[in-house]
Amino acid sequence: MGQHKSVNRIVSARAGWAAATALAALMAWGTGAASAAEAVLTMHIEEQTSWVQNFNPFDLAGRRQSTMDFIYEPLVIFNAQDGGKPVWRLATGYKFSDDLKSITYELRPGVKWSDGQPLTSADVKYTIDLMLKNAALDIVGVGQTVASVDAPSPTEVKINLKAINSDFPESIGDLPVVPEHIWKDVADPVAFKNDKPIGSGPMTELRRFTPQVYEQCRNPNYWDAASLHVDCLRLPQISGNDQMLATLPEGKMDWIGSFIPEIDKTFVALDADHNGYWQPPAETVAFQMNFKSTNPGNLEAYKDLNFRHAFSLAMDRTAMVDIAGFGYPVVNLHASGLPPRFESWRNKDAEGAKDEFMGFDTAKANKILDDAGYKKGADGFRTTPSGKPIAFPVIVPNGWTDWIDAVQIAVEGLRAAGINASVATPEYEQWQKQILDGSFEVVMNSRADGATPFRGYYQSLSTNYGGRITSAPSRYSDPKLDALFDQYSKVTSDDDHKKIFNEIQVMIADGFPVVPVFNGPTWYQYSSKRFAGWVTDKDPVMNPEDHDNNRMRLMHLLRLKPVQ
Amino acid sequence: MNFALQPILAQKKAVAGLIIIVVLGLMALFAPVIAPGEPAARVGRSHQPPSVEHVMGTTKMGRDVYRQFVWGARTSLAVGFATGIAITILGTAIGLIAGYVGGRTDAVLDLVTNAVLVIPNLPLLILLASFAGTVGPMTIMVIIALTSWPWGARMTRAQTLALRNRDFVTASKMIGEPAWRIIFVEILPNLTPLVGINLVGSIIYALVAQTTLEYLGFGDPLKVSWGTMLYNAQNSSAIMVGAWWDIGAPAAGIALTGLGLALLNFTFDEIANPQLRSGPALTRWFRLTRARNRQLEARR
Amino acid sequence: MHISRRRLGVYAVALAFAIVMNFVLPRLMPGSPVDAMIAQLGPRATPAAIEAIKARFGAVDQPLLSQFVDYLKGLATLDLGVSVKYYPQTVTQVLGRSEIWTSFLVVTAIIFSLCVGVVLGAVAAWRRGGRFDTIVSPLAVIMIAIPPVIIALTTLFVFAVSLQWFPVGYAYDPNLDPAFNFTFIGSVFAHAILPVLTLSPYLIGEFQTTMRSSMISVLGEDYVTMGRAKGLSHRAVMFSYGARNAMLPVLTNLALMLGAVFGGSIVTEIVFNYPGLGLTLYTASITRDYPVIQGQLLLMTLATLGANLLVDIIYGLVDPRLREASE
Repeated sequence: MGQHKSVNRIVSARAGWAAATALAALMAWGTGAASAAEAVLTMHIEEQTSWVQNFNPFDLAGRRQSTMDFIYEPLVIFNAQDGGKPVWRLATGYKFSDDLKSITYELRPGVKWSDGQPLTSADVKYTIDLMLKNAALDIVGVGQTVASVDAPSPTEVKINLKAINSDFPESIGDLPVVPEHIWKDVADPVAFKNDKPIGSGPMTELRRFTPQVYEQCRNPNYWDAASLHVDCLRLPQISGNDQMLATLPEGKMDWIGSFIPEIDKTFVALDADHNGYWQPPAETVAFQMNFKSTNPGNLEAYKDLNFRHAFSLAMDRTAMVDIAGFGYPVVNLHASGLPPRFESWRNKDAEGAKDEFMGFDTAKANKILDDAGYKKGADGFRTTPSGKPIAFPVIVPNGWTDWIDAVQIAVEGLRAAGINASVATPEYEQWQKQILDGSFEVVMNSRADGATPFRGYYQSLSTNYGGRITSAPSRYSDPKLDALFDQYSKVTSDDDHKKIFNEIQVMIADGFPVVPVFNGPTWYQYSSKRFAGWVTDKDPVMNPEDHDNNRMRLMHLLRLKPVQ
Repeated sequence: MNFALQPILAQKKAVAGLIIIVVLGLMALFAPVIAPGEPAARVGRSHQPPSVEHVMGTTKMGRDVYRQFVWGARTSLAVGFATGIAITILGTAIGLIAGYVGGRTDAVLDLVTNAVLVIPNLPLLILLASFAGTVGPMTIMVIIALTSWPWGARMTRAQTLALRNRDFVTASKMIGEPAWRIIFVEILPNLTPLVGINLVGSIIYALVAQTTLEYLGFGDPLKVSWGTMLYNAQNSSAIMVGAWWDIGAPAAGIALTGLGLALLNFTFDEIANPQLRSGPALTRWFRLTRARNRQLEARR
Repeated sequence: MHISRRRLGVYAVALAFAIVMNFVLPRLMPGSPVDAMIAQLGPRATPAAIEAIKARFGAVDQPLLSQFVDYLKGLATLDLGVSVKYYPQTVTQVLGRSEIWTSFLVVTAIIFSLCVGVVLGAVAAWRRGGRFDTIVSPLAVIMIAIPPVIIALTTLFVFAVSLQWFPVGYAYDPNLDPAFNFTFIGSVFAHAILPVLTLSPYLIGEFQTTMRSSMISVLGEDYVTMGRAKGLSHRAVMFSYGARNAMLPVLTNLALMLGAVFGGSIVTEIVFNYPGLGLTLYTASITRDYPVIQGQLLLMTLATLGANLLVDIIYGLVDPRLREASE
């Protein structure tokens, strides 16, 4: 490492400006002293203007994005790329009771916290109890699902559920288990910064923490140390895309999760032998109409399936992907909106003829609207069959430029079909507020997928979630769909799940509640100069991203080995 | 008018500045003629370099940079000039009233002027803009005008104070002319050069502030202006991917306008600032220096 | 040392204005810190967590007056509230860590520009109408008219990205620990060069223009002509008589320009990823971290007020005439 750095520094100071060269050489001298044998992985997870030493796993907004997985190991990870199969970590298995009203996790014996204390069922119980007691810490929603927790033995945790819920293990996939012996003395766990974390993951020791860089090193008591070949994670502070682009030529980054425009030119070409990327499609992005809109004309239109079909036909998805998204997203041409990553769940009966409104066909859109009685007025815009005006802004957060561009393309299409749509760019916080309080008209939004497609659909389209979280803006309500969701969570076998989800896909393709347009990319770039073992498209075994929403990043880290 | 124009036209720098501004202004005015079409329309592929078809290339969204540049001039210049005028009117009015009326009115106005003057402008603008949410050109205008008038007010007040006791003002007072008439008919014309400097300076300031706010993302990203062009170009990493034209066009527009106004202002300053063309001592001094210079040159 | 009561009044009003505005604005405008806090949680926030945040930070139902008293109490104890973005850090902590870098940047840029601007302005005035003057003086006005955004972007891409002469970001090499040695200080300076060069054109332009006009009027004073007549050397007259006295307006200008320099530093710090107040303000404004934005404005106002006060004191010491003339 040290050598690489000094070479780079001197090269970067070519062009012979005397003082700069001297300074750069000096700086290189200063850094070259770092121990050479260590395997330090430099990664970029989040954009910040200054690092703040906050490793409180319950602080979604403030925690460093390397807190989960690397400091707090999950109980179990479900690998979406592998049909949602479990990868056992702190737990070695779980079992539902016969009545499905409780679930018992078997914990891995002999796991220790980074300070050497044993990790037992008492810690798991303590963690869930803490979240139940303090709703502000409830980052996985146990308040809704869990009645109580027992610890029958040091390696067994019995969780009593409020209702039958076979989706429960997945729903607590993001649960961090914290050590009771540390946290019981914390006065206010919401405002706790946990700046010297004691954890169970591979990288718990903070060796260095400055506003510009921090280093997280090997847990001396890690249970899976045999699989761990990286000694330290190094996270330099980077404030945005441009900063990243300016840093890339230095060739110091190993694992990147950035939006890099024209990546072949700006990243791969810098070191074609080592630099690579794989940006597989992720969550489905869709246009969602507010089914509780207070505007009578708009509401009449939204509720009409013909209107939603015409809306879909006005979408130039290819332009959204190629122009707005630099070609990184992937067009979604399924009325069910199923993300490509859940290919194994796909139901052929929900496709084919049902996808006929997913193309870009302005003439057909116009025809559908004409036939359905949406007459054009003097201004060229259509009114509803009952004669009410239709006019709505599509909201998209200010600053999300690629999304703004995509929405602009959508609005161009809608206007060509005689629909008076416009773009509005409120600030993110206002955007979110409008979604939550239901004052918006139309929004382009994505949903948060879990390891199986169920969660994304359930949380965005069930009556229960409508308007309560940002990924459920539409407030769609269909009792038959709700019944299917309910049925799904009451069965446990994979086959039953698949069967019910097949029905869900058909219902959604027919009901067409939202207009899917494309699947956003995952952000994953790597350099194989210093480490080998990277997940690539040739070996697509897991979601390769290093972001906080991907638990599999832990397994990715454990694959990496330093290049000799 | 004569007083202001003639000496300006005698100056090469001023003429150059005037030409730049007039050309840019005409370009903005006749945008529909010289760059017909909707500036936000997608007309080509992403980030195409300048060609015959697209003389300034295209943006990331495939929009014609030339068209955006011309139409953007409309918003940018309109906001710049309108804001500049608003700032000048506010500043001049407050300065005149404070300087002429004097007494307690002056004390209060002067206090407010100086107080607003020491509050840092751009941070204040950012504070206001972020509380207001996304702000269109109109809001940007109001915010800039409300925070930037004190410079002009201070200069105007000082000049008015000096003029207040001149004979012609005293005479007008004696024949019982109303105060507003004295202020606007007797005193104001004498301040023409000062108002000119204030105006041009304010336009420059408004342009810089507007560009900065829009660049930082406080503008309305859907309105085409030089500032939002910069913002959009920056957000599509135009320079990093080699699309220099995308960022170069708006930057050149802003820089050119700045250059033209600066040349004008410099001349204004030179011919009109009484301080700069003051006293016989200086004239004498200059005659001396000039003579010496000539001697030096002759010797060479 | 004597500062007129009137000047003190101005400072008091400015301070009061900033304080009151900081209190009133958030209560008038649509945005609220609680919404910003919820937005921070992102799409993964559970309904329970959203409710909990609202309950913990939302709806203050005290009467306005007692809110204002609490706010003043907070100010007096330097308690500016809690940052939304960096919760649970306080505004004072957030500002504290960036304040030093902005001070360093601004002070360095001012000293550098003062040296350059004053000399250029003095020489231009001395040779008024000469070739030097005709080129350099309009240049100064032009430098004022070019937005720092454009200068910053240009220098970043020319000198840091393309030529790679200078680092592209940070206040010092992230591998170093702050220490009082040559390596660290050298690194700090290397990282400050481009930001300072970006901030300087505007400052140089302002200083130079002010210096020039003030120098011209000073040169017209009888005592300068006298000095010349006494046969003193060119340089002696220019610097001992002219420049020294012409400096005063430059100083006043400097204090008033501090606000504008802060403005310039915002853009500069963003472009160069320099961890100062400007970058903090920008992040705060993007994430709608209202407490930090407000604290920032207050801090910058205080700094400008302080500088003005200082200049007034210097004025009083340097030029006894002004002391009398000021009232």
